Amino acid sequence: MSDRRRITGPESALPLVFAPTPNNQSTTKSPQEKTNSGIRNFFIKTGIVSNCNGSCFLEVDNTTIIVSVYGAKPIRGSSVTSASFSVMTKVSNNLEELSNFTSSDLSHSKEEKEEQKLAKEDEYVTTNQIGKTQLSLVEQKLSTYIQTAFLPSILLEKYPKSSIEVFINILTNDSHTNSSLLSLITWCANCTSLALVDSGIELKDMVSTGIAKLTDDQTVVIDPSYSNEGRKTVGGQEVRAVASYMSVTDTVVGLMIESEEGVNGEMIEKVIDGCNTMAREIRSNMNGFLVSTM
Amino acid sequence: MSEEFQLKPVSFSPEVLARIAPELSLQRHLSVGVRPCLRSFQEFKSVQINPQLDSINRYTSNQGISSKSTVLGSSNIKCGNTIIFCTITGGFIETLLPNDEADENVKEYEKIYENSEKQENNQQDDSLSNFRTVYPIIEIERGRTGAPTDEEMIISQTLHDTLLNSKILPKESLEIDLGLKTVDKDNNEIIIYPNESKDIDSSLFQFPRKYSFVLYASIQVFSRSGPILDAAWLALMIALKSTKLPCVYFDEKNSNLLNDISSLSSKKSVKTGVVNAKSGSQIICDPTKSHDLKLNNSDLYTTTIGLIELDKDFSVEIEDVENNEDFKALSVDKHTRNEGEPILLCDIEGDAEENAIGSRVVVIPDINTEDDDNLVSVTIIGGGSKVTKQSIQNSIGLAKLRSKNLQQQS
Amino acid sequence: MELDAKIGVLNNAGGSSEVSLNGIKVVCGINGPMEARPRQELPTTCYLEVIIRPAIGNPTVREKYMEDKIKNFLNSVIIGNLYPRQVIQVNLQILEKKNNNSSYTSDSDESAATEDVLLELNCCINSAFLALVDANISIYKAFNSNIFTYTHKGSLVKDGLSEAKSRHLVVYGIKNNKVDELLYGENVGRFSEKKLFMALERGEKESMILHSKLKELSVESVKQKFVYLS
Repeated sequence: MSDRRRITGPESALPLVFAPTPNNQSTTKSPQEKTNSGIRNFFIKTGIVSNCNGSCFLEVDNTTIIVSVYGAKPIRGSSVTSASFSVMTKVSNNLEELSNFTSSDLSHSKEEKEEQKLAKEDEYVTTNQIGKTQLSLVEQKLSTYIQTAFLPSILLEKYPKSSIEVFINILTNDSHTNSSLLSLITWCANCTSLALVDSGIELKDMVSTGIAKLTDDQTVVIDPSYSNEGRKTVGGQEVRAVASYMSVTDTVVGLMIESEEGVNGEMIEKVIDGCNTMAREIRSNMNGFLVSTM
Repeated sequence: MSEEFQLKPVSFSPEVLARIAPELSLQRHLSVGVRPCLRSFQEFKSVQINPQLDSINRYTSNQGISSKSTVLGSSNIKCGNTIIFCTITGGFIETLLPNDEADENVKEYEKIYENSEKQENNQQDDSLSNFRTVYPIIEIERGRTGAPTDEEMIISQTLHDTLLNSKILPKESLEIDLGLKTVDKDNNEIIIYPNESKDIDSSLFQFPRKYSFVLYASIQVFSRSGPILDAAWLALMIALKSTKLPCVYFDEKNSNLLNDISSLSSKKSVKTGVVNAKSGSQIICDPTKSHDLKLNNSDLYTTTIGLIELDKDFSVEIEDVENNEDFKALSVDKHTRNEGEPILLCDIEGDAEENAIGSRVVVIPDINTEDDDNLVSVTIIGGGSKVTKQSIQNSIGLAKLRSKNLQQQS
Repeated sequence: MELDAKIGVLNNAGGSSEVSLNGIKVVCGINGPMEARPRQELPTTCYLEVIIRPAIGNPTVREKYMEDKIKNFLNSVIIGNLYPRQVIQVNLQILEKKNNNSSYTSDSDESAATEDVLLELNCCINSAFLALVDANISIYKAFNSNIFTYTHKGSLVKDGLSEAKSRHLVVYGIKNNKVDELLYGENVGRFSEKKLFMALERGEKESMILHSKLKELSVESVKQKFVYLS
């Protein structure tokens, strides 16, 4: 059945299919040759959306995120003793290529050269259907992570019979460096943290999130951008992780680890340490920002 | 024992009053010459046109051409506090289906068709069917999920219809001149386009079917504070101005590979190497080559003016207010208008204004034409205060002023 | 084209009418005033629900848009505070469309749909007026709708021709047998300010003519309903 609430255009329309960009052009200049240490510069601004209770805008490289918090607002009918907390993510529908990379992170590896032709087929970019109603895989993953990570930090029992809703809008995503899902989660989480503070909802602590990567040679890179995460090293034993902290109590509230091959305890420890370093740095940044806006 | 009964006045904060008694709140403000949003009566919101979304645009991305993006045009504007993002994406549609009988003589058919089309064009160049529009989807962030609200639907349809009615996107702008991907003598893959290779036999480009683009617009609105038609239209216009359409070619090799059963069943299509419309994958966009979208006129702007009559019953004693320190700092509109004429308010904003203003005039002037016929659309919504001839004239004047202003900015 | 109207065509509706005009035929049924759902209830006035159903298929965004246009001014015409916390439902079913049978190519289909919006609105508004009268809903003023076009040669015609320089839909409210105010005007195409006002003036005149015709019809229907009057 066609969508009767949206103007969908002619049904017989076909999506645009773009041929892959010739290699010499696509990899001309990567945006920033980032050194292996340090966090990319990021820009934050709170209170950007006026008709919600709290909001935050974050920009890092070419990724832009707006998080708006609605609540605590009353919910009709049910009388629960603590607030319900939910997270909705919306990736701008032109950025659908995001959904590819979770799987392509894995698939683009060994056979790449042998089956170049097939891979070429996969790389054809098509426009997606406009006006989708269901959450994509990426949106689901993002929502779930952020909901899980922030649930312990909010004093939900202070808001009975109400709901707190977080809306994450990913306006642009770095399609060049192809920053990974994990990196996107990191920045969304940090943005959410500031939006929650902006909303004035009572929190136990601010959640700060870091991302790190353990390379083949067992060195830890924090805030890896895809350009140095590079496809060249794919296939080796690489471990990537995102971890969220509440610094005051020094507890981990969210953790996500990704690796092509198995991981052992030692590796996890190392990579989490990396996340922690970044989260601390982010936290001090956010603290500084909040003090400056007071 | 007699007890004196007194009614205590109840007071509300301005925001609460605006919501529960918009009429009262607005009238009180206007009677002292100030609007609830603190702008003066005929002051428009400031508009800022940012280039920020460019990073997702396929063609304007700061690292050359973005290989993964399918965004053909984009815009980001800020109107007062309201932020609007607009992105344009595209699709193909087959525009000509020759009769099966005529298939034997496709070329002849095309000739006839083109001739007749030309005649038709001469006759009614202006007919609406010679123009196209975009398919807009608008999303206004308000902390809800689910189906589009009535407002979102109405604005989408308004944008869609207005764009078509204003006749700025001619049919020809979206037609595709198919190129051909083939192999040259040395077996290298080459792509040739009809307009750039005159020495090549033009019969190569006789494709039995024609394609044109369809354009979709996705508009996201944050911090809505009043009717957003004007701002949404502006965002759409600027995005369309920036839109580039990719060059498109027909992949000869692919078509042979993918000639599936359905196209094999009709022998004609094999003979002519006809594109199978269902699979469509032989029609491919050039990753780098593109051209600008041609618009007839890109300087059309909508302006919504609210009309409201002062109601003396609600007025506040002006002496009470004039001594107030805060009030002195504001620019106050002294009423120099005629009795019985409504006040014109530009860029309606806030609960009080939005709910209490029933009458509106929406004008799209064409400021580029020397012609007398310089209006594209005037919508008058009555029902609130009386819409007088004078107020329509004034609204048109304001709209022209505003359009010129925006033209300079963009 | 001449307006052709009937009142009281539906037995189960509070009031109804059938109008055909410019090749479009609309049947309108009014339900209410009736009890509102909690979500619609307004404490001091009635909630007006306008529902338009297209000639073919299900209602889409286009119908929503037309509903909004009608609702905008109808709200100020109905004396809402006589019906607090109640709903008045205006159902408009488009029965016939001018180009119903001609096979559209997909191209012109869309522009025709946009073009027909004004014609359909024109017919719906007139039909709604008759049905409101038939339903005995209190209104501040009578209203009716006319459509004009400027041809390419520049003459003003009372018709909904599609090939025209500009098209003007004008709805005037009529009180005490005099034109009271402009309720709704939709003007599209290419036109000058002067032409706009000429069209509006013409609208005033035509709306009085149309009004006397509609009045006759409604008087007739009242006579039939209340036999003791005659």
